[in-house]
Parts: sequence; C-alpha cells; structure tokens
Amino acid sequence: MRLPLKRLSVRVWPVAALILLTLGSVLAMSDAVQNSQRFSDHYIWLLLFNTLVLLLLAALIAVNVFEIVRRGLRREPGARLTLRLAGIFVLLALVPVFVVYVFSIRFLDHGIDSWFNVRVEQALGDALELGRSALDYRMRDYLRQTQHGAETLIGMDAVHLPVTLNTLRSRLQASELTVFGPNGRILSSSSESLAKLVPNLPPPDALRQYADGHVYAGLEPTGGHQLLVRVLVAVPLPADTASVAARPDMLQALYRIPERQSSLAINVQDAYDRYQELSFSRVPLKQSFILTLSVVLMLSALSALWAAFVSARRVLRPIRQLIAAIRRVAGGDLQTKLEAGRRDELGLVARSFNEMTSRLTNAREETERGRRQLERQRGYLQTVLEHLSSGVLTLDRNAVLRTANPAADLILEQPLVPFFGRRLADIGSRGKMLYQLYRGVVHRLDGRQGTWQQELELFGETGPKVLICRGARLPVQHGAGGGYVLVFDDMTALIRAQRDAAWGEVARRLAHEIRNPLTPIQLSAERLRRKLAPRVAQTDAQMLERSTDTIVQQVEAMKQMVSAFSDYARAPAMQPEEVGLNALIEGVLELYGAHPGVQLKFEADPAVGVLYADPGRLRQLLHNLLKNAIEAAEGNPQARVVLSTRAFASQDQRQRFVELSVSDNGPGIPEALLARVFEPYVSEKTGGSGLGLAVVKKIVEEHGGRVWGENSSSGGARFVVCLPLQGRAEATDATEVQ
Amino acid sequence: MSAKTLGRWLFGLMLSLAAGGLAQAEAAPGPDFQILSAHVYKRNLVYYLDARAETRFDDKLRDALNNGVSLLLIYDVRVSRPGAWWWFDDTVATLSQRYRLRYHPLSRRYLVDNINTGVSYSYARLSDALNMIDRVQGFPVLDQSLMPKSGAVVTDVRLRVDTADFPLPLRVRAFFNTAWHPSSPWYRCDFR
Repeated sequence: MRLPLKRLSVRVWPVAALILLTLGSVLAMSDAVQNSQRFSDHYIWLLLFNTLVLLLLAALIAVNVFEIVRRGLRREPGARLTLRLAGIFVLLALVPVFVVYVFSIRFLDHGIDSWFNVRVEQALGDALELGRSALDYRMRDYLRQTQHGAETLIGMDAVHLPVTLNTLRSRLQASELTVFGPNGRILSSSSESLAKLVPNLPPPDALRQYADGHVYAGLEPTGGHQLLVRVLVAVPLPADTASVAARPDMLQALYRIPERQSSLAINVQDAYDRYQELSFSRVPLKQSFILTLSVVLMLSALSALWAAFVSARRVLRPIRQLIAAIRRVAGGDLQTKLEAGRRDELGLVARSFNEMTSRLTNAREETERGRRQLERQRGYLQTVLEHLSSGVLTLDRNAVLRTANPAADLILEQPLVPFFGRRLADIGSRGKMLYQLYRGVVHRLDGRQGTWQQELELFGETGPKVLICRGARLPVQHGAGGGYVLVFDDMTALIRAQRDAAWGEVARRLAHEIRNPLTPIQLSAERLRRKLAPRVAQTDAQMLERSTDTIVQQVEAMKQMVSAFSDYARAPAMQPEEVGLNALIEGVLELYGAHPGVQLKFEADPAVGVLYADPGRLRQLLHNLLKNAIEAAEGNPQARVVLSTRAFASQDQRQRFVELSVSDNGPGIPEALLARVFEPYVSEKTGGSGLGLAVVKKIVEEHGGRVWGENSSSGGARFVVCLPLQGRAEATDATEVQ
Repeated sequence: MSAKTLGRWLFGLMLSLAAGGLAQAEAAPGPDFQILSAHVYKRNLVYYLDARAETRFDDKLRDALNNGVSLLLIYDVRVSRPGAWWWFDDTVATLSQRYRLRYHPLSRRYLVDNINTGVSYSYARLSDALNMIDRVQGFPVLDQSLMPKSGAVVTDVRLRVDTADFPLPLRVRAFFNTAWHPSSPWYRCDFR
C-alpha cells in the first residue's frame, strides 16, 4: 500500500484529477444543501466520497511530510529547503483559507438565523389561524344547515328515507349524506358520486366526540388539495317517542369546501408547514452547511498542502541536483554535469556550474602536469646528485641537516640519514666526520659571504682526509628560508699523489744532480791523497790523510743519501704475499731485543691473522717506526716503546682493517710539525735523512692504508698504521670461513 | 499545520457527529418499533399477509411530525427460501407497504396516506393514526403461481421509518443516528 501511495504522492495528474472530481462533488453537495432535488438524494454518498478523498489526500500529504522529514534527517541535499519552502507555501495558502472559513461560518450562522424572523412566524401563524377561523365559520354554517335538514328526516321510514335523503342532499349541497341507525348500521346514504358504493365512514375520534353531545363538526383533509367538512348530528326522535332510552339515528353530512377557498387555505398551510419544517431543522441545517463548508475548506487546504509539497519539490529539484552535484565535485568527481536545458536562472546556474567543473578539470590537469614535470625534474636532480662523486649536504637557516647524497655518506664514512632534521651543532661526537666538517665550516655559515671555498682536514676511521668544501647560501624561499648547500670532495688521494709526484721528482733530480759530481769528488780526493801523501811533510800528510778521509767519508755518506733518495723516488715493484703480521713483528723485534736502555713491548692481537703485503717493505716500515720511536724515547730514563696490533671492521662491516700502533714515551711531536711530519725532510732530529717517516707513509700508501701520528694524552708520540685486509689474504680468509 | 493534523481534524469532525448522534440516542428513550405478530394465508390462489405491529414514537419524531416533517413508514416484506446455515437465503420476492404520516395544521389532524393504494385517512390523535398503520390486513404477498414448488418458504416482516421524506439536514443527521430512522427487528413467520 505504501509504495503506490508514495508514487501517487508525487504524481501530479492523477491527484489533480481527483481533486477536480472532488471539487465537482463538493459543488453538488453544496447544491444539495440548498435544496436542489437533483443531488439531495445522493448527499450522503457525496459526503462519504469527499471524506474518503480527503483522507486519501491527507495520507498523500503524510507520505510527503514523512518523506521530506526522513530526507531531512538523513541530511539529503535540499530536504530542509524543501521543508521550509513547503512550509511557506502552506502558510500562504492556509492562512487566507482559514480567515475566509471563519468569516463564512459567522456569516452562515447569522444568515440562517436571520431567515427565521419572529414576525414572519407570527404572520404565518396568524394567516393559518385566519384560514382556520374562516373554515370554522363555514363549518358552523354547515352544522346549522345539517341540523335543520335533520329535522326533515324525523320519523322517516326506511322506504321514504333514500328519496328524502337525496332531496335533502341536493338542498344542502352536501357531497354525501348518510343515516346511521342507533347500532351504527347504515340506514341510507346518498352521494353525489354515483359510483361510490360504500359511504365514507366517520373516523373513531368523530364518533367519540359525537357520543358526548350528539353533534360533531370537523374539518378533514382528504389527501390532495381538498378539504372536507364532516358533520354528525342526531336525527331528532319523533315527539311521541316514549322511551327515554331510545337512541336517535345519526346523520352524517360531508361537505366539500369550495375549491378556491380550499386551495387558499392549503397554500397557507403549506407555507406554514414549510416554515415550521425549516425552523425545526434550523440547527441541523446550519450543521450541514458548516459540514459542507468544512469539506470545502478541507479540500482546499489539503489540496493546497499537497500542491505546496509537490511544487516545493519541483521548484527545488534543480537545486537539489545542484547540491548533489556540488557534493560530488567536492568529493573529487569533476566529471559531474548538470542538465542545462532550462531557460530560467536555474538553467544559467546549471550552465555556470558545468563551466566551472570543466575549468576545474582543466586546472587540475594543469596542476597534475606541473606536478609530474616537477617530479621528473626532481628525479633527474636526484639521479645527478646520487651519481655525483662530490658529497652534497643541504642545511637550513639553523644549520639543521636536510639532505645528503650517497657520496656524502661515503666521504664522511657513515650513513647520514639518522641526522636528517637535526641541528648539526647538537649532534656532537656521534656525528664523527660530519661534526668535524660542521666545526670546520661553522664560522662561514653565519657570515654574509654568498659562496666560499675552504680546505679541511678531517680524521676518520681510516685516517686523516683532506676535503675541499664549497659552500653557497640558498636563495630565500617562502616558507623554507635560506640555508646552505655544502659541496665537498675528498682530495686526500689527489693531494697525496701530487705530493708524492713532487717529492719523487725532487728526489730523482737531486740524486741525479748530486750523484754525478760525487764520484769525481771522491776520486779526486783519493788521487790527491795518493799523489800528495808521499811528498808532503809528516804533519801535513796527517792533515791531508784526515781531510781526504773526511771528504771520502762524507761523499760516501752523500752517496748513501742519494741512493736513499733514489730508492724513494724509484721504488722497486711490490712483491706482495701472505704475511703473518704478528710473526713478522716478532721477527723484527728480535733484532732490537738487546737494545740498551729501552724497554720494548709487543701487544699482539691474535685476530689479526694473515695480511697480503710485501714483507720486505713491511720490515722496512717497522724498522723506520721502531728506530724513530727508540730515538725519541732514548732521552727518558725509563724509555719504553709499545707495539700493538688490532684487527677491526669498518662501521658498515664491509671492510676489515689491521691497525698497528707504535707508541713511545718520548717528548712527543711538536705541535707545529704534527701536520707535516710525514713529509720528507721534516724532522726535529739532528741526525737522519729525514726520509724515515716519508718512506713509512709511502709504504703504507702502497698497501692502500693510512698512517698518522698523534701525541698521546699520557705523553709521547704514537704512530698508527692502518692497513686494509684485502686481496688474496682476505679471500683466503673468506674461504676459510666458508 | 501538517496533513496529519488536518486528517485528525476531519476524523474528529466525523467522530463528533457520530458521537453526538449516539449521545442524543442515549439521552432520551428511542422510538420502539415491534412486529407483534404476522401470518400468511392463502385465499383464491393468492397469499395474503396479516400483521400487527407496535409503534412508539419518541419526542424527537413526534416533534418532527408536528413541525411539518412527514414520515415515511414502510413495511418490508421478504419472501425467501432459507438456505443452508452457511449460505444466503434464496429470495423469492420482496415487497413493501408504504404509509406517509404527516400533520395537518389547518385541521389539526394527522393524515395517513397509504401510498400503495392512494387512500388517505385522517385522525385527530396520533395514536389513532399509528393504530391504523399498526394493522396490516389482507396485504397481497404472492401469487400462488410464483410460489416455489417445494421446500420451506418463510416471510420476514419489519416496519421502519424511511428518511427519504426528511428534509436534507435531518437526513444527514439521521444517517449518523438510528434514532431518526427506527426499525423493528425482522419478524419471521412460516409461509408453508
């Protein structure tokens, strides 16, 4: 039931037709109330039909209201607006209808009351009374005539009675005369209508009245518009009648009131009757008028309500569609389009909406294209940065690390991702080389300088590193202001190669330039001694001997030195093999075992194992370092030199190293020399070629390691050699593990 | 103002009309119509009905009568063959005897028109007029040729006031109030 009702509640034509039909029926009803015979027979059915229609309308409206309220509760688009609009329509429609209704009721009340005028009623009553008295007068006249006539029948026998009666009837101009015997038996009758066989019998009340006074006269209606006067009188008994108990005969005379008078009287009576009837049904009449009016009101009101709901829905349908479309657009569906067929403002809105969505679509596509392009550029930049051999860091205004490329991780020897978003000033020693880098450049960061370049030396796990660092201030952008980009390159290898090349050249040229004159000098000195010695005096000969010896010795020393230079510049090819480092060290230490005044100590780490290196060069490295340390420690009465080895892996576990350190408790390295201690001819000692540590460094670098010197906190110098476990040694190690 | 409220109004209006009618019916003792006796007899191939009824008017009907409203009193006669208990009766014939009762203010008499015969009678007292209506004598019901050949045949009789002669406002009121159109219960008498 609900579904068809719901469907019906929004259909216009069926309901409109129903309303029209009902309007017709209401018209018929009001017609009937005004006493039209045409519809009054069907009044009740009209009323019932109208009531049913009204109930149906009420149900339709209830469905509408329910539907709208339900939509309102579900917050469907436009439901509240529909409700509000419908409310306004309803108010607009109902208020005037109710005002008219109230006034109509009042007018109806007064109007109907005014029909019933006391004077009219009085006049009608009087008219009736007048007619009645006129008829009374005539009746009395008839009575008197009849009484006279009755006297002619005194003592009449049964034979003469009919004839006399007939004569008497003609004389009296009665329509019928009948004589009844004492027992009520008809003795004789005479009627003007010959066809009438049975005389008109007196009604019981007439007989009762006659019984009282032997006389009766009464007006009787005969149906139709005819009035009849019935007179009953006693036929006087003959004067000789002795019996007191004898009852007289009864004469009944019927007179027809003349037509004119009769119809006048009947007309008066009809009018009186009608008035009485109306007066009697005044209250029901009012009620039925009010009922009809109420039905009309209900029909109007309910139709208006229904029309209000339907029209509110219709008016708001485009708006509902618009709201739904806006919601869809807000949800991201930009393909939403509205029907733009209407010619009114709503059509304009729909067209504008469609234009807006297409513009939005274009804008979104544009944005998407831009975003993709940006993405591509970003990816491109990312790729470039990732494959750059230079480390790149970006810092923001507050020196918080923002980004770093993989080369930066490599150069600074640790993953930098954990430090993203942190102030470099706060990371402390955990930042290792990153922190050192920051400390090295921090004075530049707050400066006004746009771009700068600086060389830095940092100390990492594998020794010192030389970096060339360039900094540039980033352009100030909205939201993310300023900051710096740091680009740095590991110059260690390059600088080392440059230095090595330079020193090699120096050594080579020195050897070449010095060695050449040395042999002639030595030969010349020896010839000088040999030629002059026999010829000079003893004292001179001694002096000559000493001088030439000195020359020869010094030349020899110079030759050695030149040879050392030559060796440095032109090192023989490496011959690496697997070497047990600890065993090698112990072998070298045995040579120094009896060194007086210096205590030698070796702390071996058994994990060091086998190294792939040139054992001859390693021995030279050890000699140089030990010699250096012993010479440094000799001044100390408790001179002590400690060697130690240690195996360790890099932080990312990818590479393993062997660390060899040689510590002494001598005076330490002067601070000024610390940076250049491995360069040739940098020595604080008076003796020595000044190449010892340079050779050490050369050997270490030939093995791919690093070496550095430092002053230990307890006093004395410490030289650390760090060699990678690589090549065949590591390979065999790996196979052993496998 | 919602449709529901309107509907409730309408319903209330109908209800109050009906309730008003009921209240009126309860306030005064209603009119009482009874069929006291009825029997059917055959004379010269025709079945006739004699019946006695008792009609008591209440003040309302009497007022209406005295105020120019004419009353239509109708004897409904139904001749039928009773069906099984679960089925309808088979109606053979339905007839009615109609009287119009009205007041004649000019003569101050009550007039009874037998509508079937067209004969009118007038009475000074209402009870006489009602007495006349109460007695049905020799009302021809059925020709013997129309009589079913076999089976039981019964006659149901009732006397009622018809509202067709009422003025319209009274008719509306009478629709909701049975006191305005009293009716006797059906009186069943055996036919054969």
